[in-house]
Amino acid sequence: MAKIIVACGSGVASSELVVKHISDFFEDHHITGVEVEATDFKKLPDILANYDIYVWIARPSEEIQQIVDDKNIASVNGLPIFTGQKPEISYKAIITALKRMQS
Amino acid sequence: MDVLKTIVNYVLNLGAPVFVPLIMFILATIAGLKLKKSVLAALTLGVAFSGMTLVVNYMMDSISPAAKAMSKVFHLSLNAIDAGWTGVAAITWSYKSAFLFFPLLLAINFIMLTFNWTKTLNVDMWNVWNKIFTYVVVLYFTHNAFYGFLVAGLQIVLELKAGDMWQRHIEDLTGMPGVTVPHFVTLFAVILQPLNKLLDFIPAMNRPFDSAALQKKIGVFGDNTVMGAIIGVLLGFGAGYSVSGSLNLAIEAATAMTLFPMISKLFMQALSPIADAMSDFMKKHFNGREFFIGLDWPILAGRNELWVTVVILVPIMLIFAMILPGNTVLPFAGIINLSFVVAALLLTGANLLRMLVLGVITTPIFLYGATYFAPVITNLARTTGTVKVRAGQQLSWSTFEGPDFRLFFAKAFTGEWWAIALVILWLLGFVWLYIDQNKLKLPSQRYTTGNSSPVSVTTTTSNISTADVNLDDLDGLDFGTTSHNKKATSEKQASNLNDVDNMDFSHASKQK
Repeated sequence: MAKIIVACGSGVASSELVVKHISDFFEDHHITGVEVEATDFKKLPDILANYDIYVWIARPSEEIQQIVDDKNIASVNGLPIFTGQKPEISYKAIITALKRMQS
Repeated sequence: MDVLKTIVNYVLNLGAPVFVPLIMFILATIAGLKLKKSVLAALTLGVAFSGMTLVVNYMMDSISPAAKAMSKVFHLSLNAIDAGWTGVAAITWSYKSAFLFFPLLLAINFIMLTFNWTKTLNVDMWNVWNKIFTYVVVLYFTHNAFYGFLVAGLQIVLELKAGDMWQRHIEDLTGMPGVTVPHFVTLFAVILQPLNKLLDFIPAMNRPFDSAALQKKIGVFGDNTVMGAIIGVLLGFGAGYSVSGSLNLAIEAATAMTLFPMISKLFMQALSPIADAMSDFMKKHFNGREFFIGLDWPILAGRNELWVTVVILVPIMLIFAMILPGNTVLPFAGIINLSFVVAALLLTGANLLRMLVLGVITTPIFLYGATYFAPVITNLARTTGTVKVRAGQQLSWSTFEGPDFRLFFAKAFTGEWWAIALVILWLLGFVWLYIDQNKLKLPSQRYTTGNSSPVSVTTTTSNISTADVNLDDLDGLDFGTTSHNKKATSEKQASNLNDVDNMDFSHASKQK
């Protein structure tokens, strides 16, 4: 099971929107076995290690970057999905990261 | 004619949890969603309403008696319980004309972009709720729907102009080009601006300050669950409860705090198809034009200063709530003051000391705003039938967004001369802010010692390289057995999105 986490200020609005887009993308392409979840920045440092891919909409802080590097988590810029400007850039990165996990 | 009236009234009287999802279903269908998705969106919205009703009532039932008891002990009058922005947003979405504000936002943004009056394209449809809420507030005071739409419309215009003026500072603070935050909370900078200018005369306020270390130390207190428990236990002791009673209240309060955002997520899920359709429509029409994409404020949330400030302000807000004469609000679900901190971050260029000073100074403004507007929120909760508020109790929002703007403008339209004067002053203040922001140095160059490190603007920010992945042909990938191994992720891997169909990743696991 691959797990993706998206984070925003409250874990309610922006991150949930991005989660929904990613889930829809997987659904449209019949991609299975991936969990996509939203959280808020305050919880993120504690739970990030449990995930494989971090899709961010605010630049990762040093603390977050440290966890990403230590735990070998793929970090993907989710802004293209969030803004709707060329979202395929993010999707490609997500798929690439997933495939790398399989190999 | 009578038949039609009967039908319309019947539909309106179904109650928000039924009526609003019905509208949602119609809108989603118009937006071209598949039946399955429309049904799901509509039902999710209904579930969100009912869920919010459950949580707010649960919160009221556990906190109100304690607040009452504590008020007796300390001779206070804290009868307004704080539902936070999540609670107020939920109640607002249940308002019967809520969906009219999507087209209002689109129309105004469309006109302003067409005539080059703004460079901001606002695709943040979630925050349509704060326009609806402004309308509700103005309506409450003036009983005039036209004035309500007028003020909400003006708010949209000001937000777009704010989006224009913040953009270069946001790029400097976050390293993200082409995005901005045309959010209502940033307009509080109008009030902060003169105070911030005074701070220029204090040398200590002109030095950069590293907040990363501080964030690690206090981060745990910022967690919703932990904060709920702490407030619960303090409230229990304040109310003279026994130890077991206080601990139970701590768990109940933590439960309410934890569930609030979970329920709010449902709103987002339900509203997202509409939001998507709207922003797609806008983007199609202005394709190829140079504009800033207007997003919700969390794009700024990577800045430590933001979190350090709000967490430090929590106890300060609680103390103010106890000592401010005439305050009726017990801060709870809305105690993280997002209504203040976003404006402060942008205005001060993320200068932590300034943010804290401004935060302490302006906390009473929010509490008094919350006290003043508690009847409005209570009335909205009662009329939409979303929440039961018992007699002698009120519902409020301790960190009420834009108390200044909403008070001045709503009261000005009731013809109060002092409010009209304040509206003129406020608008002049906005003009001053706008001009100043366009002249001001960027945040990374603003504070004298000059060893603050600006964020380098880079666009390659994912740690993955995607060579020619093709997205048209992914169907059916399954990632069920993927494992996240400890290899360096620098290797390039060409992945073609044309042949990822039917992939399954259910056995993927990260090797620890």
